[in-house]
Amino acid sequence: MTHEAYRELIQRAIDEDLSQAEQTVLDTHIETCAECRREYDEYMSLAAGLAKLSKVRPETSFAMQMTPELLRQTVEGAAPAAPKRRVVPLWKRAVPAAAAVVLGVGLSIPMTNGWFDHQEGTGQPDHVALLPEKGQEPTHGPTGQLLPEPPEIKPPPDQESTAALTVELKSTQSEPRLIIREKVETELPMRAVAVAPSDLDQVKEQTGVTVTPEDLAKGKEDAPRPPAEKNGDTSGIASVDEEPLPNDNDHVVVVTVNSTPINVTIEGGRVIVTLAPLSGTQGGTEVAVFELNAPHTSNDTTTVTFTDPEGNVIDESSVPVEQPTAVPRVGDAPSLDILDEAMQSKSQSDPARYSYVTDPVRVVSRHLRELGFAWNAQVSGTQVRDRVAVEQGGVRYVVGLTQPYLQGDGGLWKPAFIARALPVEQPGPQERPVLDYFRGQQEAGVIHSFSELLVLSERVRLGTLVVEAHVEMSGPHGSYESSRSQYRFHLSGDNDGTWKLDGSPDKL
Amino acid sequence: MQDKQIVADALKSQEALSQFLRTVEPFIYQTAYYLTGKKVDAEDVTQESLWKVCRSLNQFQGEGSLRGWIHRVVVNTFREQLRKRKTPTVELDEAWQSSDLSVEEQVETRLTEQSLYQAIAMLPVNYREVLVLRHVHDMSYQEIAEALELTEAQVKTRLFRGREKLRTLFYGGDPV
Ligand SMILES: [Zn+2]
Repeated sequence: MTHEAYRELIQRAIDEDLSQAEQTVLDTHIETCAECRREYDEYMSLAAGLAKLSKVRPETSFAMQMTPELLRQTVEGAAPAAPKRRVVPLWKRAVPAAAAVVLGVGLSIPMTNGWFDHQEGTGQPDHVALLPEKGQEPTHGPTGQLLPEPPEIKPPPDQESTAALTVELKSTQSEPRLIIREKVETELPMRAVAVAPSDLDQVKEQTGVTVTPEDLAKGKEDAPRPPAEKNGDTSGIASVDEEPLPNDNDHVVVVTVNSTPINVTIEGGRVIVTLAPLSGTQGGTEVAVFELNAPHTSNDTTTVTFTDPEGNVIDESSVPVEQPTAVPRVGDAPSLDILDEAMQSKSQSDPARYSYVTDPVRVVSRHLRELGFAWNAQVSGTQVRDRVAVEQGGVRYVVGLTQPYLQGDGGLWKPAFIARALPVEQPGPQERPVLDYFRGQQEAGVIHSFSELLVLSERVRLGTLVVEAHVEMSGPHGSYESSRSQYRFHLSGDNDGTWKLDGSPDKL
Repeated sequence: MQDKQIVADALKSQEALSQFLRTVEPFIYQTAYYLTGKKVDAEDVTQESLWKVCRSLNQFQGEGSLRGWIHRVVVNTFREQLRKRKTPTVELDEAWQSSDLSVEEQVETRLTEQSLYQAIAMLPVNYREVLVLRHVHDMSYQEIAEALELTEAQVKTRLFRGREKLRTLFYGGDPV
């Protein structure tokens, strides 16, 4: 057995999923293998930590607030005992027809005790009874298959042999980009499916072919880019060579098994992929993974329809559109340990590979996720070299960088802080009084002008905001002195959700 | 008692239904709390999920467990919330603010309940869902598979990877 196999045993041991024999195998191994023993111990401490997660409770009960009207509708709607035409709610797709799992004591325990609750220290946790009893074979319903078997399709008459793997594209609006083509030993029927780029795990699980986010990204660099829109105001702006494609979240990953896309059309918001079967793949299965630029067909999904060359629908996939979900934390940037002194020297000895560290924009692009941004956030340079702008979800952030080891052109840049631009047009409730403060200062003539308001740190509930502003003050002899200044604002909230300044800000 | 019976009882009167919803609420909230990683978001998801459970309880047909069915509602509501979110929230939980350490520094120091909570919130959504159902609610692979409409193999892959990420985060080792 490999270490990898023992790892899986360790993981299953956490879930008490091992048979007696497997447990013995594992126990014997970790007695002699220090590495696996260490991992075992680490996993067990982690599992203990997970088991101790507190059973938080909501501060207010929403159930208590549900109107009698809503309850009455539900109760009366249920009155006819025989189920009528079944309405499948939108959020509930086809449910596997698995047999009901008996809840055991379930709700017959006093309800106030919390149904699924297991309180610490009560000895007998209630939830145990809610699991299928040991020994009672759990019923396996047909679970959601990623790749349902489509009806067999015939090769197109004019394309007897498509063994040659040329992807001929007619009238395409979107060209599938081949990521990986691989032969796997398992025999799989011809199928196709589309998944979200973040769901590459599924490709592996279903076909045995591993595709990593790096594979997707790698091809992207080589792929031809649409001509970049050149704005006039590029003076002093660092070159942006790793800017993601504008509509990166419109990509889907298409997996084909023993078939190849011969045409992709986007028609009335529908993405239609025509497939031709691959012949001549005896002794194994050919799996190909493509990336496809596909506009989303509704707000939250992209529907990809697979057809045979005659236009018969083989299958359809609904792919959730990826929305940026990561939200960076304003304040000190996460410390990117890889950008250390060793990396500084590597960038000098092997500039071909590591020169990116000397370009602040590329540093931020490369470590976008680690900095807490969404993978498809837009990165660009700013007027100053040590600040890089990142835009996601309509919010503009600024990443401040420093050169800790070497100053100048060859110096490595390391992110130091993440700030959020204060939206002057639409300030948030806590930002409005801050904005008013600067306007007041301007009206009173204390400052001549202010711009580039950045939130450097925020303690929303405590009501403190540290804001940097670029201010111009009147200097002697009618001149202006401009500077970046930082202020700590204290705010207090009212019951109606508005905030006001609590005294004057501290100038830092 | 069978799940279908529980549902039938809950649908007998407004009082019974209200009682049922109050009973499942803490459990819905726990899932939402660990899925969203934020109290305010957890409250939103809880409220929305309760509403959906209330509206469609009479459609529960007893295929799969009631617990799995409710979880599916919560997870789907959570996913909707993620999708709908146009602008990221800036609201941070008290706990995140109590320290001036960066997230990574806080998380990497040692395994505490708080650091674990934060680390879970940083996992990819796919892993987080499975991990929460497994560890917060002690659901079996099969139950999770039903609730999330996955195969058991997928559940295991996601769960194992999620835990591997957590282990790497707290104890170092090969990056996942
Ligand atoms: Zn070993």
